[in-house]
Parts: sequence; C-alpha cells; structure tokens
Amino acid sequence: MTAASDSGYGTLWSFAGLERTEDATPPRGAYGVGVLAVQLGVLLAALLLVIPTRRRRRVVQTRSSLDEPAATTFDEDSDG
Amino acid sequence: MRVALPGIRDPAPSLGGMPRVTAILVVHDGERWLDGTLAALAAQTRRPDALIVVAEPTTEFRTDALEAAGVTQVVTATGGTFGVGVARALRAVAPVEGEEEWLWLLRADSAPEPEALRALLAAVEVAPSVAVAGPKLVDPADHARLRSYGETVSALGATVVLVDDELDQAQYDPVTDVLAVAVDGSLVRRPVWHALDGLDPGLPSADAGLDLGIRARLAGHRVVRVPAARVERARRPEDVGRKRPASARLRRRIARSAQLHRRFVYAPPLAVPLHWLALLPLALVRTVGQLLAKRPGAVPGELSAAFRALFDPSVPGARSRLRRARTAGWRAVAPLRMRGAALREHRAHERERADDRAGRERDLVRASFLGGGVWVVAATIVAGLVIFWPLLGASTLEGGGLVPLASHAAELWSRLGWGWREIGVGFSGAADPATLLWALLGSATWWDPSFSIVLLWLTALPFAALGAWWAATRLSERAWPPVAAAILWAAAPVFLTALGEGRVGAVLVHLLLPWFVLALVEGARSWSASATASLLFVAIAAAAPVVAPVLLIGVVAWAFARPRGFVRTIGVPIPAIALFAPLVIDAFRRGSPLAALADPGVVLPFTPTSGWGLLIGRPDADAAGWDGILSAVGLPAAGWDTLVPAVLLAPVAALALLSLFLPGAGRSIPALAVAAGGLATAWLAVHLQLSSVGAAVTGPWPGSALSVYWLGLVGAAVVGLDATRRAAVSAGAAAVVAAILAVTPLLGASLVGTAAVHPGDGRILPSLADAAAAADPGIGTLVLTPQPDGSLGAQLQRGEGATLDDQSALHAGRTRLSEEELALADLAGNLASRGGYDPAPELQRFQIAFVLVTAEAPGATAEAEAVRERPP
Repeated sequence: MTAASDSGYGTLWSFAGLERTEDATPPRGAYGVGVLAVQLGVLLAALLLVIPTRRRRRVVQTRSSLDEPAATTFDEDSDG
Repeated sequence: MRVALPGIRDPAPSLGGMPRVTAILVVHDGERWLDGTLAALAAQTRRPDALIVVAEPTTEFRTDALEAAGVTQVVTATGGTFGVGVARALRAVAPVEGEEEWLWLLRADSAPEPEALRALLAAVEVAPSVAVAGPKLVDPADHARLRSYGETVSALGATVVLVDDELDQAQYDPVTDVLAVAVDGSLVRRPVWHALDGLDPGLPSADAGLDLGIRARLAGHRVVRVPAARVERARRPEDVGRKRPASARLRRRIARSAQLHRRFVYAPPLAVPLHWLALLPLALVRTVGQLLAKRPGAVPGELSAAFRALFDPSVPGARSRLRRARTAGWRAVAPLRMRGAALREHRAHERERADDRAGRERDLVRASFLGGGVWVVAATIVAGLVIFWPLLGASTLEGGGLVPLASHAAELWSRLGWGWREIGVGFSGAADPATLLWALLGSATWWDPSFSIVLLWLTALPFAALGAWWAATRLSERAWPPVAAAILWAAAPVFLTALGEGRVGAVLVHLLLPWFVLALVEGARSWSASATASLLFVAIAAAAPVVAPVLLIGVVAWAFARPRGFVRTIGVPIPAIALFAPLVIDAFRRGSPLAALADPGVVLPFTPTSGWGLLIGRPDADAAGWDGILSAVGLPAAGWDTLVPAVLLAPVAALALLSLFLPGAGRSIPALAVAAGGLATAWLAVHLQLSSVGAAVTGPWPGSALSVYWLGLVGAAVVGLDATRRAAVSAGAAAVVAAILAVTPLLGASLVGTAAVHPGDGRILPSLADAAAAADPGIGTLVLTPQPDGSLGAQLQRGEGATLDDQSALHAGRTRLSEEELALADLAGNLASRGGYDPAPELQRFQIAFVLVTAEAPGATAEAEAVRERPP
C-alpha cells in the first residue's frame, strides 16, 4: 500500500493492487418486494384519504376550543 | 306448509273480465308490524280477492286480525328470501286462469293506505301493457315523506334510486313510466310474473325490484308508478332478517354485489369473460375512488363484492331466466335510463342531502393569519437567517449527526422496504422507516438531495413557528397566545440543540409535532384529517422511534375520549405499523429487539444529562450551554449552567401550572399529561443502550421526547395565557423574553462556531477516494478510527461513503458480529499491529482500494498511531 494523501480527513493509503471483481448486490427478493408493496400500498391509501376531494364549507364562528371541537382545517365526513 | 287457522276465509270466486288480486304478505321476521299491516289490509276500500300470508312456523297470529283482513291461506316455512316466500305462496294457489290476475306483493312492514289497491288497479285497468305498478313507499311515521318511488340505472348499469327519503310535494307525480319500482307494495300481473319466473334468487334484497322491472320491460311490458297509491315502508329490504338496520357500509357492499350480479346477467355472452377478468382490477380502481371519496370503510365491501362476483353460482340461472322471457332489445329501455346531465344533477343532489343528514355545517374558527401569525413567521424567518448566517450559500451541511444524502434521488428511493443495506460489510435486512423521510426530503431538491438539508435548517425556525401558531389557534382565538406559542416553540432549547448538533430526526419531530396534534384533534371528525395524522405519525415515529410509544398512547387516549370518531382515530398508527413491522421482526430475529427504537441516521453518542437537565429541556450535557457566559462573568459552570436557564424558563412552567387553576383546565390537563409522557419517555431514553459506534454505546437521544414534553408545556401555557385575559400580554411577553434569554447560547452557537453543524464539501471520504468511488462505486475504503479508550474502530465504507440514507438501526444495534465483520476486524487489527503482514488478500476479498486512518483522537493507542505512521 502507498500513502496517497494526508488531509483533514486523516491519512489515506491506497491499495494499487486491487483487482476489481464484479459487484453482485443481492436482489431484493420476493419477500423484499412484498414488504415494499404492502408499505407503499398502505401509504398510498393514507395519501388518497388525505387528498381533499369534497367541497369545503366555511362558516365563521366566534368560539373554538378542544372542549368544543369546532375547528375544521379538514373536511368533515361521515363514517364510510 | 299450509295451515288452517281460525279466521281464514275462502278466496273470492273468479269473475270473468274483472281483475283478480291475490295479495301475498311475507312476514319474514316482521311480526311486530304484522297486526298493523293486517289492519291496513282490512281497511282497504278494494279488498284483495285472496290474501296469503307466508310466515315462520313460530309466528303467532291474532285470529280476529286474520279474519278482519280476509286472509285466505297461511303458508308456513322457515327461512328464505322475499322471492322464495312469494314462490311458496304461489304453490298454494290455483293456476293462472286469465290475463287479469294480479299479485300484490307485500312485506310485513308494508301497511297500505286504504285507497292503495284501488289506486293501483285503477292505474293498470286503463293500461293493458302495464305489468308492474308500484305505489309510493312512504315513511310510516310521516306519509308525506317518500322512502322509494321508482328506480332506474345509469348508462353503466349502476342503480339509481329515483326518490329516496324526500318530502312528497307531488313533484314526481307527472312522470309515471319508469324502468322499475321497488318490489314491496307492487302490483304485478300474475301471468307476467310466471313468465319472468319471479324474482332473481341472486338478488335477495337490493335491486330485486329493479331487476324484475328491467326483465318486464325487456319482455315488452310497461312498469309504472302510481302516485295515488301509498304503502308504508318501515325498513329497507337490506334490513330484513337483521337484528339491527344494515350499516351504510353493509348497504354499499350489498348494492355493489347486486350491481355486479346484474352486470354478469345482462352482459352479452362474449362480454362476460371480459367482465370477469376486469373484476379485480376494477375493484382496485374503485378502491382508490372510495379512498378519495373518504369512504375507507367501503373498501373491504368493494373487494369482497368483487370476490363474491367471481364465483357467483346464480348467474347462469339468471341469464337463462332473462333469455327465456326477453322479447325486446336493450334499446327498449334506453330512454328510461338516467344519464348525462340528469345523472350528474341527481348525484349532486344526493350528495347534498347526505351532507345535510350528516350535519356538517359546523362553525369554523381560524384566527386571522394577519392577526399575529404572519408577523411571528416573518420574525422567525429573519431570526433563522441571522442565526444560521454561516450556513447561507452552503450546498451541504456536515458535522454532528449530519452526513450527505446519496447523490441521486433515485438511490434514496431504492433504499425503501427490505433488501441489501450497503453499510459496513453489508447485509440484507429491513430499512429504517426514516429512509422514507430521507427519500422525500432529498427528492424536494432532486438535483442535489443533500441541499434539502440546508434548506431544512434555514427554514426550520419559521416552519416551527408556523406549526405552533396554527396549532395554538385551536386553543385560543386571541391574537397574543398563539404568537407566544410560536415563539416559545421555535425557541425551544431542545430544538435549537438538535439544530446545533445536526440531529435531523429530532428537528423533523419538532417541526411535525404541532401539525400532528392539530390533525389528530380534527381527525375524530374527518377522514382527511385522520389520514394526515397517520402520515405525520409515520414521519415522527420514523424520525425518532423512541417517541412512538408515547404518541401511540396519546392516539388511543384520544380515540376513547372521542367515541364518535373512534374508528377514524384508532387507525392513525396503521401506516406506522406497516412501516415498522419488517424492522421490528428483523430486530427480533437478530436478537436485538429494541434496535427499532434507535435514532435513525448516524450514531451520535452524547453525554446524558441529569433529571434536572431534562426538566429544563436540555437533552444532553454536550449542548452549547451557559458555561462560556458564566465563566466570562466569573461564575462556576457547575450548577449555575442548570440554575440560570431554569430560572429563565420558570415563567413558562408557571403559566403551564397556573392553567390548571384557570378556566380551560379541561384543555391544560391533557396538555400537561402529554408533557409528563414526554418527560417520562426522555428519562427512559437516557437509560437505554441500543446502538454502538466504535467503542461507544449509546441510546436514543432524549431530545425528541423532550419536544413532546415542551409541546405539552407550551400548550398548557397557551391555555393559561388565554385565561388570564388582561394580563396575557404582559405575562406572555415576560415568559417569551425569559425563554429567549434562556437559549441565548444556543441561538448564537452557529455564529460563534460552537455548533457542530457547518457547511460541508459534500464528501464523506477524502477527495482521492471520493473521485475513485465516483468512477467505480463498488470499491471500498476501510476507515480506521482510533478510539478514546485506546481501541481501534474499523468501518468499511463502500463507494462514496455511508450516506445518511445508508445508515441502519439494525447495523448500529447489532449485538454480535458476522464472520465477515470479524474478518474485517482482524484485517484492521493486523494493519495496526503486525509488521510484515500482507493485507493484500483480505483487501482484495473486501474490494478495499483505500485505507483511511482518521485524525488522531485524544487517548489513541500507540498501536493506532503506528497504523498512521507505518505503510500497511
């Protein structure tokens, strides 16, 4: 090995004799694909629910609190 | 089975040419309405010629009621649908003798008005082509309220109920010809009934009348509705046989099943396979539609209806029944379908009425953004730019827990889920849920993903202020308390510490918490809000898994506190569960189950703080504190560095505690419970040891939990300020000024250079190794780090180095080394200690092109130093 550089990172040594072999990153596999599909599916479902698709109704009122839940940043809907 | 009961009379003899009506009354668990319906039949001005009652064997009859109604036969049988009941009744009567024989189909709850049958007959007598005549089905409590009055289909075959729960103002009287009517209360020409083979067994409740009408129309007959005839409908057909009325979800599922059944029955033979193949894809598309329409409860019904339709055994029989009776093409019914603008208007009208029924017209409170919000956000923008002035112009940040993200956004997304983790010697396993955050964050500046971190830091203060201000407007509609909340939240000690130490997860938690609380509070009434809360829950739990349990407790508590919104609220953690499940399973499998609670990103050990430190919001003893200022004024750091901020933060704590005794305590008690939960979580976090880096072992940083603690404190303080009214401005101003003074060292940390975070060059490795890795990402660099305790840390960095998205809690929390890691450790040890050692085979094995010996650390061993000095 040969000294290559000395910097704030530290001392770097180079191994010039490296013979590169082909990288073989293991594939994600069926389990990995399944996990990803389920996770993305659940997140997509939540995202679709988030997207506002109903008409908004705005009414000004004079009082709001956690005790009297009246604030509506989001559209209210029935339990579908 | 026919039974003889007292009070049963013989049927009236047939009179040639005169209409003869056989009324069939199917009781089917409707005993409580039976006497009323029999009485209504007894009061008919035109009595049926025969009345057959189909009942369960256990049904009890009043003899006088049977006699008064003129019941001619009682058929008893167990179970069966309405159509089966009618078929049983018809088996007990004489065969059809002429065209003018009619069946009057009634359920137990179908009590007709006295003129009903006379009106129905009057309508059919003048129109020989009419085969089915339907009355107005009305509310038993209010006959002016229409329950059903005609049905049709859309161009695609969806059921369209022409009238459903509307006030009868004769608005529908002029149009009598319809595609179909509800089966209960209808008068059906008996020969046509037999020709059509009665009701379709595949449609036991919904669409039974619609299908009968369509088949009658296709057989060349007319279906009309009769405005002068009224019959009560006490329950929907879907409710028959149920203890409680079917829920909206169940009704939707039944309706969808019926629609799919009809589609297979009506489709041309060649189209049936196509419909069958399209069932599941269509169900998925409709699932998306249901979610967009905020009806997640309809999704299981949508899918189950599709699966039922896949294997519906009643379709062949129904197709055969339709084919036998059909004499006209579908064009014959086309004018009676609803389509185009009429359909859109009808559906809009239905939606409006559904909205009105749900009572959505609620008042909205939203403090004006111009009434304080805009000013506090503007002020924090300026403050952020000043505080982070040294970071302006940077394209990457580094230091503390910050390392660059991968160079390309696509790489960030490839880390998601489960697969190969390129850290250390590499392993296959679950990704940290935070990889999703890094992917989203990096994609915001896709041309240079690491730049997103710079933007996050520069905008952190205004974003924090905005979130807190918005959330606080739910606690106080006055201008000043939300402004105070915004300043206190943006100047939280733990937030500024996280920014200074480069703890990106904790920063995200602090930014998202107010929005999460806001969405959760409103989530009890809105699917959109609860879904937002669920995504924010995912983000917060991914950024700091250690706070997930306390948030989960909060969600469950809120769900029980708002029973009407229970379903919406309790589902909030579902996406987080989906994201964490693979990691938790993997962690268990690897023998380090608590690794899932570790902070994501670079493992950054910290010096734990005391309980008093936690109480004043100081997450660790390393945070830039008052030491320098105290020494400048000649005071000892020990003790004073806790006492000074404690005194300065006391007004906030006092306001929070005072709120318990002021109006609005109903809001401050939950807020303080949240604070207690956060503090307890922070205390537990300090005592956990989950991750290791080199010789250091550390746990989750308690700062994220302290953000929860601070959230509760600020929330309670806002309630206190709101209640103090006139004193609010002075009390709030004092608390805010004191709180800002308490974090003075943190505010100035970046400017004076005591913060760990600083502009970076975007590299993790020296330029030579970085350039080589850019050309060949597969090469490795072995990083040897002398440890303070005299040991040597060895880490294999692949390509351009382990980026933020490469980090893995499973890797950091592993409790045993793999054979590969042991071999790597051997290599590192031999490089450090053995003269004449030939590392080439091992370097070749691990594809290591460079060895980096990091700058000497205090306490490094002579062996480690030897590595620096000796050519390996």
